[in-house]
Amino acid sequence: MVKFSEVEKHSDLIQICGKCGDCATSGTQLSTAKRHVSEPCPVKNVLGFEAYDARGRILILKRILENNFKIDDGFLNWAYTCTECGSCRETCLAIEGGIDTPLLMDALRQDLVKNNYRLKKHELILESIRKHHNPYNEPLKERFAFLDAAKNYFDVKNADYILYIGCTESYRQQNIALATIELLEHLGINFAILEEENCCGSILRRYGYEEEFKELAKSNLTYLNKQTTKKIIFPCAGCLRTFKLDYQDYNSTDLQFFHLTEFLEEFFKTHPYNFKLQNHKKIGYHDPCHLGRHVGVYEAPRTLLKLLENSTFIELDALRNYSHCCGAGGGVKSSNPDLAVEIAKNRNAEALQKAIDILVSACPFCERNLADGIPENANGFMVVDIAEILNKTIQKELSTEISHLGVKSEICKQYMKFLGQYPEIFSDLIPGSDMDFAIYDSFDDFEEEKTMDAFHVLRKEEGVEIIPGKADDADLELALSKEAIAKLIQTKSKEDYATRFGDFYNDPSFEEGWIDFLLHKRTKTLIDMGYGKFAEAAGILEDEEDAL
Amino acid sequence: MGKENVSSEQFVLISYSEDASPFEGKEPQVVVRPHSTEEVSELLEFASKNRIPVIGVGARSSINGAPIPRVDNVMMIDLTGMKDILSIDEDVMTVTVQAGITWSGLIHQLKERGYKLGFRGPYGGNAGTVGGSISANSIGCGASAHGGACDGVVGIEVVLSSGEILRTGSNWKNGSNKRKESFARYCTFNDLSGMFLGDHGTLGIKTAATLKIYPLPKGEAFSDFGFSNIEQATKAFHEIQQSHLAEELVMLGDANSIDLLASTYRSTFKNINCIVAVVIEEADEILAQRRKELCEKIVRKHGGKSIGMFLSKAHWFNMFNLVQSLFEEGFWYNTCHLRPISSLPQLIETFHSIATKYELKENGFNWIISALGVDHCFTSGWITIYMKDHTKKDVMIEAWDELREAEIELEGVPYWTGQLWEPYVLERVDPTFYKVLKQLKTILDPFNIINPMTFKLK
Repeated sequence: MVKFSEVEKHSDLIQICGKCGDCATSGTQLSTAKRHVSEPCPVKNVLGFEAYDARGRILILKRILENNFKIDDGFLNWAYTCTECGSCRETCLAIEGGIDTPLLMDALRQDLVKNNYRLKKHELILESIRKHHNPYNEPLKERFAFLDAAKNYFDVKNADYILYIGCTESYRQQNIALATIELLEHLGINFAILEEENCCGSILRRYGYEEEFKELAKSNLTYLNKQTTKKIIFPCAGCLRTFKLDYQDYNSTDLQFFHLTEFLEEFFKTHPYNFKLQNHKKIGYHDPCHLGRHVGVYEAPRTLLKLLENSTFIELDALRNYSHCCGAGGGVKSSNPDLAVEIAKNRNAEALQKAIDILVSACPFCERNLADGIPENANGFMVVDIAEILNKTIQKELSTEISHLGVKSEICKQYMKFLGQYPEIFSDLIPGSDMDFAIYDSFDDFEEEKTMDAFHVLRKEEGVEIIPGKADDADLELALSKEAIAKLIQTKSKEDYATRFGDFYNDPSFEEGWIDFLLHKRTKTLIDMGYGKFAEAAGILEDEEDAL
Repeated sequence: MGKENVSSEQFVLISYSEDASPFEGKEPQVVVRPHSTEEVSELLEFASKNRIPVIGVGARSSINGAPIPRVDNVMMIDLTGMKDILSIDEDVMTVTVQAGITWSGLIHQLKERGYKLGFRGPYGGNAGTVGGSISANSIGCGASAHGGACDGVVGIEVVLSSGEILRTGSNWKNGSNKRKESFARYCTFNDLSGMFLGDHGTLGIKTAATLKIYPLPKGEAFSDFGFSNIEQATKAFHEIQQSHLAEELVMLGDANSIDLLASTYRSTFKNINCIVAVVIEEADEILAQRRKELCEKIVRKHGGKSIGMFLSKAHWFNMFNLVQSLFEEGFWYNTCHLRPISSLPQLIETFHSIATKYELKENGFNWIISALGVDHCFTSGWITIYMKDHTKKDVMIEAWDELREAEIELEGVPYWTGQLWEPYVLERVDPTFYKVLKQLKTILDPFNIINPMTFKLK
């Protein structure tokens, strides 16, 4: 009898599913969070049947645990059709953070491997990684053959950063690797590449080869720990996710992992540069699942793309944590290449519908798969990696320092300064609470989500930090009209501030000012985090008169 | 249809074997995914000739067990691929949609054009489809002002068991298939729409529906009112619904329910054991505020007080995202039904005695009691019990059975049936009523191929 011991470990997740179907067929969701969820499962959107979305998968896993199931080729193929993008998890409201169906699919794949249901194509990839240290069956010695032989890129001892290129950029998407290197050189970053860089092993975990993955993870960490440089930059979102999340159980070191976009965002705060496109283009951003949903990096690439002069930045409808997957993840690109391309076509169609000229991503898998899915009649529409577009458009270093990166309006700067002077406003919140403040020019702009300026306030152990731009994982968003802010910054105490705040919420006015909020976490969770007390203080729970 | 839209793989069949209820049934033998009325027509013609049982389903987000096959060898017709808006007729203020469109998808597309629906969808309207809701008599968002899912229907397109396509309402004219002609439900002949609405898919398969639309409101108001006891809350709730003041009128019926959904209220205000939340939509702000004042006056008269607007706002703007956070309390066993508003206190008292008898709290169960003003002047009673510990299932089943018996005895009428209510309603149905229902089934589905066994019609 087949044992599904890994799936069994997560039976509580399977039991908690209320089968509401939000992860399956949901249209655009309605909520105070303006959840941009629409038909969240990219695989179901292509293959149609319920079996391919999270609710269907959970029902199938439930049946598997009842030992009332026959494993056949169709089922094995089904097991590897999930891109593990996590869109269903974000959609799910059953528990905070959602039911983790990708985790369940990982568990199932591990059980299949343990029970010797191994697919030949997966075995070949395993063999290639063992033999050549990459999944593409390419010779190890060719890994960095694309680099300029005249330069020494491997002086890790004297470098400030390690640039971890990854297998895909070394053997398939060398254009991204070269653009990254050229860009970092242009910026004067002291980086080096590991001469014995190895496959991160992501594909092994996605295919259920857990023992082999563990072995590789430990070996990679041992090698990295021997290096004097502890800061590692990844242009590949897949490698980053693997090192940052999948290695977590084995990594007790001080190694620091950054995505290229995170590194650049920080760098440009103190070293501002000009970027300019020759011809005006509409730029869209595709959130790679590994970078966005999995690691939580949403703002950095957007901040960078908004630096491009002579362009208009356009958000896709499905964005950030509700973004649709490109189709390449979870091993689908190698297991079911046709399915991967069909998913990419759907994603490209979303960009084309918005008349986007260039769709930018920050992951070689996304770039490759989305490019494979460009339709014939796309009229010059192209997919590029963020390193490529930044490298191509970089101009010169600016002499003046940008003090509020991205913050444009004076009213926003004043409000940030005001809140900085009154950190006690946030004293009820638990450390780690993070709330967005979005400022709107009008209520119509709020309805259309056209933010004038935004910043977020992070509650720390002591005091608060006020940071330009929205948080990657805010608890809620306060939406305020500029008129409301003008009056709020006149207040002199927390009580006065809270009273005015409550007035603008309870009695909003287009002329005098208004406040609204969008909840990104469940109400129960927010109350427990201290926001309930804030609402009480603000008079949002208003006792009009004691009539009893 | 293409083989990509047909599957009899075991894993596919399993994924269609349940809805969002605790009920189980039979797996279908095959699942098909048509994308047009013509394809549904061909499927039914084929099924009829070959005596193949069929069941049409939407998103199966129902909590009544209705879309689960009851017999072997069923061909399940998954209509979620039919999700287009066919037309928006601003002249007669209707929208015609394919049956598989989700309520949330429809609402968004209408909003972009400046319109809203009356009934917005069941609380599972993220996934729930128009076709599913009008087949099952769903109640939910907007029902206080506009009635349930079927009340918003102007006409439907339904495929009969023979494969013939019937269009109802003002579309009765020979050769009519123009959406423009679907503007009046009650005209010229009997109301044939009503025969199929709420039929739980037993008389035909609905492929399209025309619904009423309204301009988006320009004025909104929200209010939460606290009460110390259910009697006072019910009187205020009753009078607000009688006066037709609210777009949405909701009650949380006991302290446990408030603690579960909005605990801050009970820590902020003393002696709040029931909350009535009011959502008002109007053509302008002044009208909306005036309605709110009238609600406040009614509430004061009945001993309630205003406690803010957090719950009503959260309820309205989180429209289809309310119940999911309660899954953490365990799997849901609901008892949704309709009843006169005045009977709410007795219902809640009865439930509390059942809760005591079966030691629900002590056994780790939780519950929520809520009510929603519906249509002219009645209410839905929603008592849902949550079971975390599956070893206590026997206790749950006993308590759940007893509650449903009590609800139906205490003036309750289920709005939908499904496996949830079927045993309770069939033993109480009037013989003449049931005989006519069976005769209709025989005429419209002579070979009993459409959703057999439901209502035990044949």
